[in-house]
Amino acid sequence: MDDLVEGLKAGRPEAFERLVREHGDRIYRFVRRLVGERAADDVAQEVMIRVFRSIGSYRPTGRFESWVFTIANNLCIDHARKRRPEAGLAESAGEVPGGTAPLEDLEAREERLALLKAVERLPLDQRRVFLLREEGGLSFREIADLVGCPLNTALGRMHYAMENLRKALKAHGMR
Amino acid sequence: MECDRFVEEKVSGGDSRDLRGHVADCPACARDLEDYAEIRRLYREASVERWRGGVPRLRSPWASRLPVAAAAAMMVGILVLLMGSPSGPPRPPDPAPVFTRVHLAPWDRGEARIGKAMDDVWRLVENIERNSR
Repeated sequence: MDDLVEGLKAGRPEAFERLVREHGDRIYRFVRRLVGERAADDVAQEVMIRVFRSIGSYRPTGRFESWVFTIANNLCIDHARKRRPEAGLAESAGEVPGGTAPLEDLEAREERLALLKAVERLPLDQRRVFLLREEGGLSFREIADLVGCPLNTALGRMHYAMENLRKALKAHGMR
Repeated sequence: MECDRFVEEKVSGGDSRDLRGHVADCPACARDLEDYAEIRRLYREASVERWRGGVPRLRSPWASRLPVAAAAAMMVGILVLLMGSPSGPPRPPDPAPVFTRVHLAPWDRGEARIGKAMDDVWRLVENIERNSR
């Protein structure tokens, strides 16, 4: 990770490629579940470019991932201020390649879609904490610092998010 | 409550000795732990979208300022044109100068006085020359 940061600070294009390769998918999914599929490409791209351009302000007192997702979170907030969130975020999630899936695959796909839709419907503060944890891999201490709330509040939001997801899956007759 | 101590471990799949001891006697927390782990597993399976945008193209800082610089240069050019031709579009070059004859009335009183003074000067010059011979 230090190599990556050093490469980015030196402005090396290969370091930027590595950033995209190693973090691009997670940044994209995080952004997509917060701002919607239509705007996700633009916002995710902006996140990566902003990371590259702002790397000079990164101080290695915290983890690099936490800093990256702070930028992603801030840009999602900026986007939300400009636009209303769109509906149908999880339409293409969990696609089954080939199109001739066996019955159990279809059931699994339906279950995955139901979960993603439930994530999409979580209240924003719960969704943000859930995604920072599950996509960003941040600790709850890091999440609390990033969101600007006490640790117990971050934990409470995650707990409520889990409860809501459990209820949503049960409402679909699953589990 | 005893259960509140284990919220962080339950939502993040902890496996400490304290937690194991607690869930052995707490069916509710045991169920929570199992369900939350299943939700996380299911989410990892479901969240598989890939970033398909490739590596974004980076422009140099100068490139991003180029449109502003071009606009500024254009504004300066327009200003120079406007200041160079205040009466509108540029005029064709002036034609070669033409000398025109101006007819003055030479015999008014002012001219007569000048003529008399000139005659006096010439007369004075002739006297000086005659005396010097």
